[in-house]
This record gives sequence, structure tokens and C-alpha cells, in this order.
Amino acid sequence: MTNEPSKNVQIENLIVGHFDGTLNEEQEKELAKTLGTSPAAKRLFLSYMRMEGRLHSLGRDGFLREPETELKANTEAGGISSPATDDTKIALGEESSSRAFFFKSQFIAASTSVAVCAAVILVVSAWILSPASVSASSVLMKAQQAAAELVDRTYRLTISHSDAKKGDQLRELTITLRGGGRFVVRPVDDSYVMGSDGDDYWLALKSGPVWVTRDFRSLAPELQRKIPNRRLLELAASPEEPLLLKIDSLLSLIEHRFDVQLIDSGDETLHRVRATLRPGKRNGPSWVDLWSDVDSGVVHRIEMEYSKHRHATFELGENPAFSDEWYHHSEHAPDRDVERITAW
Amino acid sequence: MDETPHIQQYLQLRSEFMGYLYAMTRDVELAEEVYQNAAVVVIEKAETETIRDFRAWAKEVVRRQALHAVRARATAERHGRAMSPELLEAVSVVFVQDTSEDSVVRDEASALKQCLDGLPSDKRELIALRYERSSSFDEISKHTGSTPAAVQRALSRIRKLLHGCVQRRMQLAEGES
Repeated sequence: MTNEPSKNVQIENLIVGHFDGTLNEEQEKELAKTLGTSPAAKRLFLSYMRMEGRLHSLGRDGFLREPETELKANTEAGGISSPATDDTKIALGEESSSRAFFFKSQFIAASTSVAVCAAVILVVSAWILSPASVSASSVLMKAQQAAAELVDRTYRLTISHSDAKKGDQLRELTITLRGGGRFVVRPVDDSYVMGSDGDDYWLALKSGPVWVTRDFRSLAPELQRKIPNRRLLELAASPEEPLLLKIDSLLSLIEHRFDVQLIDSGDETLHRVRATLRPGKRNGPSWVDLWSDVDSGVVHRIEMEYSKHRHATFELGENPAFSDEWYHHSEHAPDRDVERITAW
Repeated sequence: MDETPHIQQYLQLRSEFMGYLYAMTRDVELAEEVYQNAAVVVIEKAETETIRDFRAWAKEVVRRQALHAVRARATAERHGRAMSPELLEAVSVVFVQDTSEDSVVRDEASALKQCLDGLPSDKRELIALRYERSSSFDEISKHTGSTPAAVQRALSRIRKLLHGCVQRRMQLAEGES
């Protein structure tokens, strides 16, 4: 009888070994045979192959290293951390040598095959610079790039909700965003503050502990059990809405679930994209309108409609710069107990 | 038919193609060179040929360029033993026959970014050292003060962690949709 888990581990080891270049001839033949006979092995190989390609692309573009290379000690377990071993406790070099290594590698990568690169760049540049070629997708892509920048941007979010019994309800929040997944959101009544420092998501009420997790989605059910006044946390408790708290996630959502078209913005300095939920897609707003700066791609305004009775608007406000620490819960809920919610 | 310019479609498939090219060459500089040579073919041929399925067509261009490059490199000393022809053939067949949906590929990319963000700093640094210029285990070990074997084992484990994380996120997303 075949031991399946063991066989799968063996196949995975062969695949990883292949990408490491550590397989001997016999192992390569074994991998080739397995790829020819096992659909599961093919799928596994393909997903590893795509991951390998992405890692190389991200590395080439300089996106693998943390934006601010702070080699801070990991005092809390979570996420995909595993117990440290001798192998993973590899001493890392000084910041300056690490940076030098990075820039050197970028330079080498940039200087390879210059002539061929130039041909490609010329064609792509011609496409990008042609005014007639601006498309909703390219506007969206530029907005995504702007949202990923390490720049603090503060938006005012207004959610309006018409209720037959309670009449019109309006809630306002401010959201400060920075690339790398950092954000802080706070309603105008200061009833809670929630954010992410790029590693951990956290949430604090006016009193009590700060809840911290690596997985935003795990907050909702956990908080539902712990907090009596759930309405305060409506935004965090919905399985769909947490995505919308972050502009870059919203843009990603639009890309995956919506049909997009460029429409007249009425302002030559702004592009306007109309995104309409694709047929068969249930989650999310029915449409989203997005205004972004023609030059920088920065999103200035977003309007969304969930139903005839429910709308939300993001509007770019003033943009003061904040320190890195500002995205950490200790800046907003100091001297509180920290309760970590394990995600997975 | 997709109206997006061919070169733009080609650039959007970069990660997928680079994954295949790295699997074929295990040399990121050569993989990059083949990718760019194939880009020139795409620019030239796309103007004269009617292309119904760009992804499939571009895959074939990339596959041919890769096989040509691997054969040309076969005698180069720095690469030691050439990869077994059986494996080269098997990898190419898997690549060309792959029918993974675009949405799966995109979701995987998004999941990988999230998983990388959750990676502790030391592991992320190691990944950066490896993939920014395809540094050898030996080069990384000099930089980190470890041994090449330890670097290789650590990187293998991190990749398995990342891959497992991506798969879990994909399953979670599937369950929610």
C-alpha cells in the first residue's frame, strides 16, 4: 500500500530540490517520471514554478525586502513563523552592507541585455505615452502602484445607510494609509481605533485590551464573541468589508471581480474609472467609481454603492507624514494589555 | 480576442514565464535573457501572425527559445552537469499543457504577497538575498556567516512555508466565494 502523505512529501522535496539545483541524475529522472504520470504532482510543480517566477520578479523589482529594513526582534509568534532553528537563525549583515548588496544586485540586473531591454522599453513606453491608449486597466494599475507607495495618505470615509425604521444614518471615519499594508482607521466618535503596522492587525476600544492578530479576517468572529456592542465594529465584523478599508485591497478587489471602464471625470487632472460588479459575483458593492490623479495615480475619491440604501465614499484629505511607530497600537492605546488572537 | 497590445500581455505573463524559464535553466540571468529574446520574437511575429490565444502562442515562443538556450549552454563549464533530457521534456510538457485559470494565477500572486508580508524579518531577508540576484547558497552563506548547506536547508523550508501559506489562503478564499 502506498503511503500518500509520505509520497507527497517526497514529491515536494524533489520539486524544491529541482529549483535548488540539488537533485542528482537519478532524482531528476524520478521527478520527470512523476510529472509524466501524476496530475497532482503536475499541479504541485506548476504552483511551485509560478511561485519561483514571482519571487524572481519581485526580487528583480526590489519588492522582496521590507521597505524599511528594520531587523527588529520577533518577540511574538504568529503568522507563518515556525520555531527558529540553527538554520533560520542565520546572522544577517549590517544594514549598510545589506543595502550595498541590494543596490549592487539591482545594478547588475539592470545592466544585463541592455540592447534588448531598450527595444522592449521603447515599445512599452510608446504604448504608455500615447494619450489614446489610456485604459481603465492602466489607470487602475497606476492607482495600485501609487497606493503601494510608502507615503501617508489620509482619507475620510463616509457611510450612509437608509433604514425604514431609524431613518438615514451617517457614519464617518478617518483612514490613514501607507504602502506595505499599514493603516489606521478611527471613527469620528473615537469609539475604537484599528490598524496594521504591516505585520500585525490590531484593534482597541476606549478601554480594555488591544486585540492583535496576523490575520485580519480572524478578528471578526473572535470579536463578535468578546464584544457586546457589535455595532461599533460593523466594519470589522463583515466578511467582505475589511477589504474595503484599504485602498490597495479595494483596487485588487475591483481588478478581480469587476468590469471596468474609463468615463469622463469632468476634470482634466483626474481619471475616472467606473467598476461594475460582474454577473455571478455576489460579494462587494454593486458599483465603484474611482477618481485618480492623471500624473501620480493617487486615488482622490471613491464612491461605492452596496444597495439603493447604502453608500460609501472615500475622500482624500490632508496628508501629514507620520512616523513608523504611528501604525503600531502602542501609539493609540498605550499601556494596555495585548491579547493575541491566533489565526492559523 | 484580447485587444490589449501583445507586448503588454507578454509583460503581464512575466512571472509565469520566468518560473518556467528558471525551472528549465536554473540560472536567473539566462532565464532573463531568454525572456527578453522571446519578447523580441513576440514584437516581430505578433505583427504578422493572427493570434487567437496569445498565452498559448507566447508559451510556445518561450518554450522554443528556452530549449535553444539550454542546448547552446550545454557545454558551458560553469553549469556542470546538464539537466536530464527527460526532465527538460517533462517540465516543458507540464508548462505548455498548463490550463490554470487566470484568476487562480492572479489569486496566487496576491496570496504570495500577503504571505511574504507575514514572514519574519530574518526569513524575508534570506529570501531577498536569494532572489534579488539569484545568489548561490555559497554567496549567501558568506554574507550571513552561515554554511551553504544551512542556507540551502533554511531556504527550502521557507519556500515550503510560503507555498503552504499560499495554498491555505487559496483554500480559504475558495471556501468564502
